[in-house]
Order: sequence, then structure tokens, then C-alpha cells
Amino acid sequence: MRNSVVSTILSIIILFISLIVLPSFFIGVINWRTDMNTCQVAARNFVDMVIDNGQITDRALSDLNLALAGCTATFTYEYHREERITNPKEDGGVVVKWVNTSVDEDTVWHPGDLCTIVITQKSQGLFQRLSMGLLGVSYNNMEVRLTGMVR
Amino acid sequence: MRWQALAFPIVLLMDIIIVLNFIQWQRNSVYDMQQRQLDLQVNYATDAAAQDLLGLGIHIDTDYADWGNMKVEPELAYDTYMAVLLRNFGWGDDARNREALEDYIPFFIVAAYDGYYIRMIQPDNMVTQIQTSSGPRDIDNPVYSHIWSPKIPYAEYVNNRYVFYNLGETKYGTITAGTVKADNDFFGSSVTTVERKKACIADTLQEACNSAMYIGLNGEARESWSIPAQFSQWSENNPIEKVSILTYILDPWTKNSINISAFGISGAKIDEPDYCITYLRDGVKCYTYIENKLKLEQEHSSGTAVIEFNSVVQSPKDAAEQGYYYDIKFITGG
Repeated sequence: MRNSVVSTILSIIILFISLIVLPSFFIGVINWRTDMNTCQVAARNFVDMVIDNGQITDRALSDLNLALAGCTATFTYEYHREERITNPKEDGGVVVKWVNTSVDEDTVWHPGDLCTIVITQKSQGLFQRLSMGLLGVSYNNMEVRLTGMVR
Repeated sequence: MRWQALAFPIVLLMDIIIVLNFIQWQRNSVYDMQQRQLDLQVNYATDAAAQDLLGLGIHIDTDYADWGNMKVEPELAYDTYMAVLLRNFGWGDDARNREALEDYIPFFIVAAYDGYYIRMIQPDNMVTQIQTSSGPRDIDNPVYSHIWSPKIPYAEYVNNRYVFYNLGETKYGTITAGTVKADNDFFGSSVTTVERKKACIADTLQEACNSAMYIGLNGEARESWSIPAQFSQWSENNPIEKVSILTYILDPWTKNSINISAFGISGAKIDEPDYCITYLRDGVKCYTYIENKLKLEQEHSSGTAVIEFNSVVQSPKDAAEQGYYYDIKFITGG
């Protein structure tokens, strides 16, 4: 059987797409989905621990770090505390505000304080980069942001 | 030879189909993640709202009859809900953002003991004039805006009388020929039953949710809601039994081809009191949390400030109501 140059090139392209591009796209999306899932669960656990315990425990931080370290892409996080300030109003009643305050592991949180965690993706995994480069696929780099009120 | 010629287009077609499927799957994955995130955000916000509703609300009797329950302040719950939700979205907490977000919330219901309040789009009868360049002008048609309804009782017409119910109560009230008779007991009642009460409350709230959705979404009744009979997994609450908050939000990002939305339902229990101490700092009325008392004593003994302790109160709200301001010395950062 005679093969023309054109058909050989086309075959190589088809093989490349079938064996390299599509699997990397597929694996990239699976990794992205797994990572986002991990981040959402980690963020929820962190906020739950803070709003239930009224402080950032070592366990909350280590659980969060371990969860993010297990992701295929690189994630960073930041958390902050907004302290509830209740002051009297001039015309009676009270006014409630939240003030951003510094926080560490010794900080005692009070009921009504707000705990916010933001997890952001900083880089893509190998397969995500491959599919981005080859297919121009854009992954939705949504940040995971949750705020809860201390009980 | 003919089959060999078909091999290339068939493989190409398969590749295209697979790519299109993957792209669709990727979109669905993004949608799933956003949907779940919105669910979490709305649930945290409704939990916070319910917590403030019961933690900071006025604890007095019901509006209609003295059944020893609580009156609730729906506005307080809504304020907290918006504050927490805006932070969940990363938006600034200001009046403009609150107004923008409000458009995505067709209803916000506070199911109180003897009736419910609903915040939804409805005619605002308080607005009777508009400002024009030539001065104020009376309007013919009502202005529609997001406003609170008055409290709407859980009531139905049974056996030639109006019967009105309370959450989690074994008693009910009746109105016959203009005479209000409260404090009837369900046990041994020939008028109504506990099951009928629960069904009536659930129906009332469902109807409120679904009609508000229809109005709020300009007739696009995309979803309808049923009040769950079981206790909420999140906060062990049920609007048929306890004071609750029910709300719904459409995706405020509007960046998806698929609309995402979340329904939140929550209630809360009053937890331990958050004790505060009130004092005069160099003559100024201040309060702080009780754990800072030692620091205040040290300040006083070192001569940094003159501290004169007054009393211990159960919450920052109690202190503020007595005219004490939060001591900014104990705000730990900036």
C-alpha cells in the first residue's frame, strides 16, 4: 500500500490529537475539578472550625495546608477576621459595623465576628498547561471565597 | 480501498465529537463548582442572619396574643444577611452594592412564630410623589420596590371560623364573628389538628416563596420550592417548627450560560452569652469583652488611664444600648 506524504502528515496529526491533546485536556479538567472540590471542602472545614471554636486552631491550619498541598495546581490562601463593633446610635438603638483586624492563633473570636477565607489558584498543573497550550483551553480560575459568622 | 478513504474522516469526526463533549463537560464542571460555592455562601449568610435574628432581636411577646414567645426583627436579619453575603462575594459592603445585590434576591422570608415577613418586589404605597425638575409631582401608578410586608399570619378558614397558628405550639387562636379567642389547645380539638397546622404553615410559606419568585423574576418561574418536612441538615431547623429564614438568590455574576441559583433555609439557637464589661475610661463610657478586664486593671494600676468599672452585661448590644462605645483600644489591628 502506498502512502502519500499528505496522508502520513494527517495521520500523525490525528494520532497526536487523539493520544496527546485529548487525554491531556481530559486529565486537565479532571484535575481542575478535583482541585476545586478539595479547595471548597478545605475552605468550608476551615470556616466551620473557626466559627464553631472561636479561634484558629493548629488543626484547622494543618488540615487546610495538607488539603491544598495535595492539589495538582498551586494554591495560596489568606484569611482574615472582621470584628463586630456594636455602638449606640445618636437617636437610640444600636449600629453594627465590622472592622478588619489582625488575627493569629491566640486571637479569641467573639460571636458575631466574621471569618473570611480566600483560596486562589496561582498556577496550573502539567496537563492543564498542556491543554491550554495546545487547545487554547481556558480554565476558570475561580477563587474559593467563604465568609462565616462566629457562633 | 474505499473503506481506507473513509478512515480519516471517521477518526476526525470522532475527535471533534470527543472535543465538543469534553468542552461541554468542562463547562458543566465550572457550573457545578459555582453552584456549590453559591450554596455554601448563601447558607453561611442565612445562618448568620438567623443567629442575629434571635441573638440580637427584641425578646418580647408575639404581636397578636400572649403566648410567651418572641417577636422578631426581620430588618436586623436582612442587614446581617446582606453583610455576610457581600463579603462572601468579595464585594464592598456599601449601599450601592446592597441595592445591586437586592435585584438578585426575589424573596427573603422571616418565618416568625405567629406569622411571616417577606421582603420582595411590591407596590410601595409610601411613595406618592416623584421629584422632577419643576418640583414634586404626584404619581398615578404605584412605585414597585423591594420592601417588607407587614406580618402575615399563618391562618386558614376552617369550620366557619378563621384559625391562626403558631410555630411549634400546641395551641391556636380563632376568630369567629369578629371575636378573637386565643389559647385553644389542639388536644381534643374538633376544629383543627396539629397536622393541619403544619400543612397550613408549609402551604403559606410555599405560596409566599413561589409567588415572590414569579414576581421577582418578571414572570419567569424557573423553579418552585417546597418547604422541607425534615429538619435542616445545616442548623437543625424547620420553618414549620421554629423561627427560620428562607431566601433565594440568582447567580449575581451572570457570567454563565446556565443560570445558577441557591435556596437557603436556616434558623438558629441562642448560644452562650457573650459577656462584656462596661466602664469609664478617663470619663468616657466604654465597654469591652470580659477577657480584657485584667488588661484594664493593669492600665489603671500603672497610671496609663483611669478606669472605673461599672457593670457586666450579657452582650455588646446590651452595652451599646446603655450608651457605651466599643473601646477602640482593643481593636487588634487595622
